[in-house]
This record gives sequence, structure tokens and C-alpha cells, in this order.
Amino acid sequence: VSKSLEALARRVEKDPFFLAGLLADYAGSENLNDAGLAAALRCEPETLTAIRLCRAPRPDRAGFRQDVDEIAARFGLDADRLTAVVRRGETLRRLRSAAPSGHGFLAAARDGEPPPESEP
Amino acid sequence: MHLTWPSTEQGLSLHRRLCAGEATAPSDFAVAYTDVLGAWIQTKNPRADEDQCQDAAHRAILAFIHRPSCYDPARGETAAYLRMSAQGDLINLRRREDRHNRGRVRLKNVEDVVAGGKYLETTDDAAALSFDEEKARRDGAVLAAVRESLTASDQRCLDLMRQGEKQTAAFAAAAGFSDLAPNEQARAVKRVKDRIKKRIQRAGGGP
Repeated sequence: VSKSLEALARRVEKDPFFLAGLLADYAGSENLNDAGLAAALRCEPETLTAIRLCRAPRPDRAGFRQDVDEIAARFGLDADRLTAVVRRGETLRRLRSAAPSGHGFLAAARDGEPPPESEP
Repeated sequence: MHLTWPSTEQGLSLHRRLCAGEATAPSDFAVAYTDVLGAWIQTKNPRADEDQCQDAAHRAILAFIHRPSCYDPARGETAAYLRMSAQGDLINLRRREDRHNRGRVRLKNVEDVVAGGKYLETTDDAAALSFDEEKARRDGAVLAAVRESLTASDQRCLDLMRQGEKQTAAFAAAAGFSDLAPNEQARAVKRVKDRIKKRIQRAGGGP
């Protein structure tokens, strides 16, 4: 993965169009670095850049399922694990917009939704 | 690294997938074009700043992903459209920097350098403060001298500070700390920022 492509993937973390922000929020809530996030998704760390640059799944149920399945199939991910990670990211995003000060929203998100299990 | 332009057919296919809203299309498009576009614009503008060239390529790629319908395949190849878009973005970035260097200094962007340690919480371009030409030149000279003395990764961090970047992840990526845990990243980034600020202060740009 080139530095430019990696920089692009980091740049779009603030853009809700992309999956990157949801993955960053999940990683932040679990205190994960790239290796940890890759382990949570069961992929190689090098694959994270391309995954981050995917479009975020649509909010409606059918669209969400279709998008998660498409991304999971494209990168060989477990769709259920990806779903759990994305849902956590979405929860954090909602909490952050509801509580601008940000105090305690990470803990609240962790309380509200269990992370994917480390073993199948 | 993809340093070969995708074929016409690949470009059309990616454009069609973006228009159709496929979730993986933005990623495939970015992977296919980012590196080759960045390399092209640097070659086309050999005297341009490397970071500005990358920024211009990124802007063109993101604009295309967000608005694929703005591109009409009947009027030319995807690659040609991207090259024109990136070149335009680079021109705009350089004009912006020229204006910046001519005397309009946003306090937020240079943090406490120009303000002598004070930090103004303003993000609006309209709120940008004008300083007299001499002061702007002096501050610009201090920053340029400090930048010269820094390592490449510290230079990237200084550039981010000047751009008003606040995300730790962005600094971590620039400094090569992406692999660290977030709390370690934050500490490492703070050390880099403190080191840069100290250099600026010593050079006469701070309190």
C-alpha cells in the first residue's frame, strides 16, 4: 500500500461517506491500533486501507445488509464481524452528535453493544 | 503501487460502478487512480511541493468519487478528466498559498507562532486576520527557516499544524506512528508538536 493511498484513507476518516470513520471510531473505542483492528476484522493490516475507502453502508436495513455483504465478499471478511464493527461505529457517531462535549460517550457505547468475540 | 493508468474500459467500468453506488467502487477507484495521478501531477509540476501535489491528487479523486455524474464519458477518458481536475486543484492550492504568503495569516493555522503564544479559536476564512506585510514576511521567514531544519516527518507535521489539522491520527500518519496504540500515538504526536514549537520559539517565532 502506498503512502499516498494510506494518507487518502486517513483523510476520509472525517468524511461520513466512507467506511473509514466508522472503523476509526470502533478502533478508538477498543483502543486498537491497525494490527488490532485488522485482527478484529480478521484481515491483513495491509487490507485496511482499501476497506477504509469503501462507501459506508446505507442506513436502511436492506441496503446495509447488501453493502456489508459486498464489502465482506470483496475483502474476504466475516460479514457478521464487519456488521458488529460498523454498528459500533454508527452508535459512537450518534452518541457523539447527541453529546457534543463527548464526555463518556465511548464508555456508553461499550456498555451498549458488545464487541465481536475474539474467537469464532 | 499502481503507476499505470487503468485502461479505458476499466475507467468506464469504475465510473459505472460509482454511479450505481456500489459500496466497494470508491475503494477500487481510489486504488486504481491515486498513485498514478499523484505521480503524474508531480512529474508535470516538478517544482511544486510534494505534499501539495498529493493533496491535489486526493482532491481530484475524492471529487470524482463524490460526484461521478459530473464526468461525461462521451467527452473523454476518465484519466484525462482526473488529470485536468488535479491540475486545477493544484493551481488553486498554490494560489491559496501565495495569498497566504502575501500577508493574510490565519492565526489558527500557524497556532501560536504568529500570535506569540496566544491561540485564537476561529475557523472561518472570513475571520482571518490581516497583518502588515512586514510581520507576515517575518513570520513566513521564521517558519521557512525552522522547516528547513526539521526532518522530513517533522516537516509534514509542521505543514499539518499550519493547515490547522487537529486529528492525532493525521499527525501519527505523517510521523509514521500509525502502528502505535492510540494513547501511545497521542503521546508521540505531542512530543513531535512540542519539539516543533520549541524550534519555532528558539527561531524567534514564539514567546
